[in-house]
Amino acid sequence: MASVELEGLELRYPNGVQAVRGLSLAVADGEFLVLLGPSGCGKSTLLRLVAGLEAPDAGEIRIGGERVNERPPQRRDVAMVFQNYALYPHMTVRANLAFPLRMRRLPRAQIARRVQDTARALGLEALLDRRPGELSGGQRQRVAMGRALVREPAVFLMDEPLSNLDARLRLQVRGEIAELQRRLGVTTLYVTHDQVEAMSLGQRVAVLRAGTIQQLGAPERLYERPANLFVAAFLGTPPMNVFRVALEGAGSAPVLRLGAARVPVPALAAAPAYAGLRPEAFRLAARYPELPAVEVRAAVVERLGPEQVVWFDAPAAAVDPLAAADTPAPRMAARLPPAPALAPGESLDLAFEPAAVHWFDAGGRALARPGT
Amino acid sequence: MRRTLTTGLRHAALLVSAAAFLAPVAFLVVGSFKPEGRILADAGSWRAFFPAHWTLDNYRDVFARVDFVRFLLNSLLINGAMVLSGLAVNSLAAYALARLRWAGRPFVLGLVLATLVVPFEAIAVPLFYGLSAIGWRDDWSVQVVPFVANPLSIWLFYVFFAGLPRELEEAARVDGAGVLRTFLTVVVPNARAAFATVAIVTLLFYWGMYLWPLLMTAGPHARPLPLAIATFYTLPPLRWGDILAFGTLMVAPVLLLFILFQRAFVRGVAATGIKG
Repeated sequence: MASVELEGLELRYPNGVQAVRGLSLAVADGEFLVLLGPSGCGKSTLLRLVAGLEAPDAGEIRIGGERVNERPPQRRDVAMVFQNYALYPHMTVRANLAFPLRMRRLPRAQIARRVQDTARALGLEALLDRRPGELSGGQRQRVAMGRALVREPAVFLMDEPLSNLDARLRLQVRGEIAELQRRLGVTTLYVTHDQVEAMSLGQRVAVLRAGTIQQLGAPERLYERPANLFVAAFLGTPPMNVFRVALEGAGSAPVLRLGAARVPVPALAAAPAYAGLRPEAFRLAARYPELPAVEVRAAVVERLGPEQVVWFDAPAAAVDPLAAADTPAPRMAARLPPAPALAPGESLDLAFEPAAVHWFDAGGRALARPGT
Repeated sequence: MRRTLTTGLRHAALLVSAAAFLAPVAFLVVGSFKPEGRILADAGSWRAFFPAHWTLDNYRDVFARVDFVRFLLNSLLINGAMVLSGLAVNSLAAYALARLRWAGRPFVLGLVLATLVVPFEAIAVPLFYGLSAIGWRDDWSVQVVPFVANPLSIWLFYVFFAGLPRELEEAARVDGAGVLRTFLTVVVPNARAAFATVAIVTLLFYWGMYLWPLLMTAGPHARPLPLAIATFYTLPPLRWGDILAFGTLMVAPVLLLFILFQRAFVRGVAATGIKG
């Protein structure tokens, strides 16, 4: 077990793509840290840098306080679970599990014992003499986990280990991974593009974009206090509704307009350019007469069981912060309780707490509200 | 109905072309069992592929006139050494070209491919003079070493290695294997198809080699089979039956190996089974 520190990492691929730029990150001993971001954000590259499968152009990688830049992968004491498992197709499950131990020249008896223990812990005992080609996706995933576990490495690296499983199995294995990591207390770096995975597994989550960390913190902190528009929009399903701020009242206190609703702009560090509202910030106005409300027409209603998501034509200049600068987003979303059931075309009044509004400056950075 | 017709036509065309390719081999084998007088007499008719009188005289002649076993052992030694060392050298070279990162790699790859177009005859004489000057001639090793590194083999391996999923090797590296161990324990077992292919290609190409052994050897002690067959043309009496019998004996081992390797080849492809 060991801490992992990355300092000022830079990596440009031969094709000119800058995969990682000036990235620093410290993972505490025993911590479960998730790297979250869209494809191409550099999260897998970061994992490969720690494993030693890529060499950084600049910066330092430390495992357990020791610089490992110059060490080849086999001398870093890390174990990796690959997205498509990378099981050795010509070896049985037993031989796959034994491989990392054989490479370390452990005594035969000890190898057999540890393979047996790991197989038992993961429920693989009945499969030990099969080959990967004869296993189901879930079983292969388990073998891949076993091959990483059997060695008791200092650091676990997991590269989207659940992305090849169906939804149900993913849920199950996700729980198992969380439990396993808690029990073993091995420092873990986990890469995913799935925010639910990130939020449910990570003690801390680092949101990446274009090779830089956008925000690092506890999952609920990222959700409640996103540092910028990207994080705000990347976390949450449906994503945060973001719209350009139209102020009124020159000379007097500035006021935000959203349809007929008026929200006084609080004292911020700078003039806000964008405002954001989570879909769950909306309520049906009839029950909250004291809150500002906006009248909208439901365009699409998704009835999900415990809730319904209502998409409506944006009553303000909504934008899609994940797309190129200021791409208009024609619709906004509200998450409402399942009753009363709404139908497309229906008009409704949506209210929201003024305090639920997130404010961002022209560069997309979050503006802290007073007292937060 | 129409489909049956086209399938029938296609099968007929395949049969005709197969017959065209097999005819010389059949002529060779059948002729080797005929009495000397019938071979040329039958050559113009269907009887060429049909022995009326079987005889083993030609085979008895072959063993009486040359030391067949000696030549066979020479050929097996030379080609065996060539195939085995070729597999080792060329697969390692191809792996370095396909996977390792080093300065000048694209240049070296280009150079290897460029040598593909240089015919051996163009370098045979300078090579002969060079090796003679250092006194290296007239043994089996001089018939092997100059041909071990082979651009075609390197290219075949290179294409195959480049197509292997990289994650397998990366997993092995992280699991604790160095580059060479990764190659031996993970790459080679999953590249059996490539090894079988290169072995067959190498063997087929060099089994019938004639010019180089003729230049480099002086007597039967180090000469391979193709040079022995020439003695039947040069030493009277000229007997076609002997030549056909010798030819049959010369082709048989390669054919046998080919059939064995072909099985390994198919199994290799099936066993790789690399999919998500």
